[in-house]
Amino acid sequence: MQAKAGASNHTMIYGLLVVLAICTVALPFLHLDKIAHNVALFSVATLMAALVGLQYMNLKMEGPLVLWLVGIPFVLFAVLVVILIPEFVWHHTILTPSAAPPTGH
Amino acid sequence: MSDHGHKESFISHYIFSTDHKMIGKQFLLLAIVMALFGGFMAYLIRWQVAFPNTPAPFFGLVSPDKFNAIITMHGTIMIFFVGMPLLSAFPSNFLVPLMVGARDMAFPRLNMASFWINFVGAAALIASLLVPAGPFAAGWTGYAPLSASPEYSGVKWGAVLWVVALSGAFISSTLGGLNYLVTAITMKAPGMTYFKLPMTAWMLLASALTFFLSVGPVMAGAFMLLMDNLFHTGFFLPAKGGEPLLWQHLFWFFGHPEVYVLFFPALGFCLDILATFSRKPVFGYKLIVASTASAIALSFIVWAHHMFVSGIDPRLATPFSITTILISIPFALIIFCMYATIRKGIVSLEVPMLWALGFLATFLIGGLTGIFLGAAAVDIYLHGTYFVVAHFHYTMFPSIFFGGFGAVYYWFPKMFGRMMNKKLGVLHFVLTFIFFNGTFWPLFFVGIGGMIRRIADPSAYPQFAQFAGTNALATVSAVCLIATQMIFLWNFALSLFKGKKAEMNPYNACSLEWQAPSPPPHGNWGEKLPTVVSGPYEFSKPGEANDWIPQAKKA
Amino acid sequence: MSHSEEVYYSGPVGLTPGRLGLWALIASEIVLFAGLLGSYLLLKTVRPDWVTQASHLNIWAGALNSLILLSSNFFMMKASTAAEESRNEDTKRFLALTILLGLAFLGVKAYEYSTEFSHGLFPSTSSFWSFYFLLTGVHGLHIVGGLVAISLLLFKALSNSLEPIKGRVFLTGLYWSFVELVWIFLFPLLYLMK
Repeated sequence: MQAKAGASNHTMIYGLLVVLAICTVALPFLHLDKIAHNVALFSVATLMAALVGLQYMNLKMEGPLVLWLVGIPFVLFAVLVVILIPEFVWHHTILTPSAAPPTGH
Repeated sequence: MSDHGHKESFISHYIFSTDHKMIGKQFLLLAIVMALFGGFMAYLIRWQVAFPNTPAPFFGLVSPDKFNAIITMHGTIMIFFVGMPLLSAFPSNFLVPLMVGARDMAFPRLNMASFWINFVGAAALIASLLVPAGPFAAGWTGYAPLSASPEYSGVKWGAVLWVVALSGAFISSTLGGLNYLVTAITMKAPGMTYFKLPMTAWMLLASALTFFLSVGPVMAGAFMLLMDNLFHTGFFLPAKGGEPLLWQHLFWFFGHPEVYVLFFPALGFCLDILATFSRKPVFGYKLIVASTASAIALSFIVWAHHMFVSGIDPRLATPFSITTILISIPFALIIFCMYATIRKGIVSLEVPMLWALGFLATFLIGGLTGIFLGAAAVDIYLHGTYFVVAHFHYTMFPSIFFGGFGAVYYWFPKMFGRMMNKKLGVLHFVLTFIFFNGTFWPLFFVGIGGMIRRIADPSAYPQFAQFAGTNALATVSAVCLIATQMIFLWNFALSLFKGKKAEMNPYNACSLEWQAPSPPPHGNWGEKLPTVVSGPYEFSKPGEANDWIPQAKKA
Repeated sequence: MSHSEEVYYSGPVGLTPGRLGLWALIASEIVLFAGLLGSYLLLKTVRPDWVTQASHLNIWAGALNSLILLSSNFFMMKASTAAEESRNEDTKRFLALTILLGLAFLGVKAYEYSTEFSHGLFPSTSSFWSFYFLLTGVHGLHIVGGLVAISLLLFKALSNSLEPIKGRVFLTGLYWSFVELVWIFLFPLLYLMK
């Protein structure tokens, strides 16, 4: 098929991934503030993931069935985390001894 | 009988079989054996609640430690080792290839592995009854910190084996679910489309999909619980910086979709049975499919209704109440479609039909009482009372047993080539219906009256004395309910060997499985796959000579 | 066998049952890691002491492992292409390299764990360390499982019997890429996040 093109494609993607991995490790040395640092970290990781997913795993060739099958779990991930933000981030149960003082609920 | 072209030994035919029909029967047998354990435990629970601190016949004194272990094991066994095998693994394995027109599952050896993994899980759970300090005793819901701390609960190896057992069940159901989905998507017979599949097939697939998309978080939680018990980690222990509620969220994110994983197949069986014995198509086929899809989506955002009094952020209470009440809508639509299916039909009260009708009657009560519990304000009072116990038994028992028995009686001829005894079947149904209601209906009132669940010794609380008579009646009914199931076991065993020989299509049903021999040979369809030309419910079509049209063209 | 015609295929064009099944498995695994990573993320936001504890992690070992796993994945892709083109010698070579690098990953991880243990850092030390050992442990189990599967393929290739099941190399590669994907998020989350 597109085997030969695929082969050099793999090498190029590998090169890109190595560069991005090095960027990831270099990030702390830029001494960005917390939010910028974490956003940059997450963005680089997402870019690497997109490369692996679309290219190595051939997702760009797959039809709607597989795309929905893979997409829905990410939605569920988001649902789980977002709904629990009030629970674990904005609200401390009286059982947690560390971090912020009790909120008096 | 096999036409592999090579000789099959006893082992390869009955034990390590890759034939989906044999694997389905293995799951059925597992469910029946585990139900005996689960049922015996139900008897012990009811004995202790009604006649506290008196030795239970055939067991002895149910002390508080034993009581906690028994309620835990009863729940775990009934949901994961009776419910899942009986409603998901057994019917999906046996029926999905037959209903779509395939010769076997997409991955037969993986299928065999999934049974044996489940078996190992079941064995681990039974083994936990015998370990030092006894089995896991923190409830089938395993709430932390009690479940996470052996120093606190006194139980360590029981907890470890519980996690191992659940892991086996989860892996088995995930692998099985993949198999059913891939088979249904890629191995339909020529002419078969999604909208020509019977409701049972749709519901079994909906159940499989919901399961493997929801099981992840509880698996994560189970790893954490295992580590807390074995390695003194602090995922759920406040003193070590953990969060007890994290367990509850991870558990119920899965736990709520799981109850629909059990419910959908029962709906599917009953829809097919109602259609066959009313000689009418299922009413609202596409509406039911759409309702099922929306119920699945909603089921992922209702879970904290199990946690209204656990200490969640109060701002979460109203949103979860709203989603919980919303989810009653698609299910109500499906129930209405079931009634509409029967209406003006030519109803014959064969035994499977009795179970389907019984399911409709009892599940209705379970569903309606769920709405009370879904409203946070009411739940604050009712949570942890016998009202909840009655509610979930009015949903789970109809699903697992009314739905499950309906399926067994209905497809027994296809599975074994023999008919079950009708008189014993009617007796089994009537007595089960009476004693089920006799056991659980009073518990709604006991719960509203304020009696708390999971209490080992009600006699220690003067405010529960008023319920003693009701509890005693419920227990007598429960014992009769359990004893009644012996009629089923007797009928099942007798019919296996002495039942009247069944023809290919004893009920004149339309769906594809009824066009394979009873029982189907290895490969199901003989030389050529069937060609599907019509839908699964072509009953009483005007102008036709017969009141049913089989799905596939006659060869 | 009594059935003479080929198995009838009713799925979307170009999608094999094996590939569909593997994607469904990956979908389920995504939700598993969602539970693990989501829990870690949520708790991390209200535990400022976790960052201090994370500074005890060996970033260079983690970075090395990132490069090792990337390379292992790359060779798995090459093995997959070689298998598709029936180049058995290349397939053997690339599968062997994949496995070697996978073992190297486990080796570095083992080195990290033993250093941590020798510094008195165990899963029971604090909730951060509980999560660290759990997340890397579950990921490690997936590496082990993957290596077993890849080894079975190498065994087949060595005995020149890979041809009938060469499609499985791509499927195993798919799984291996997923394991890589998890690490792509796991490494920054644990080692580098502020």
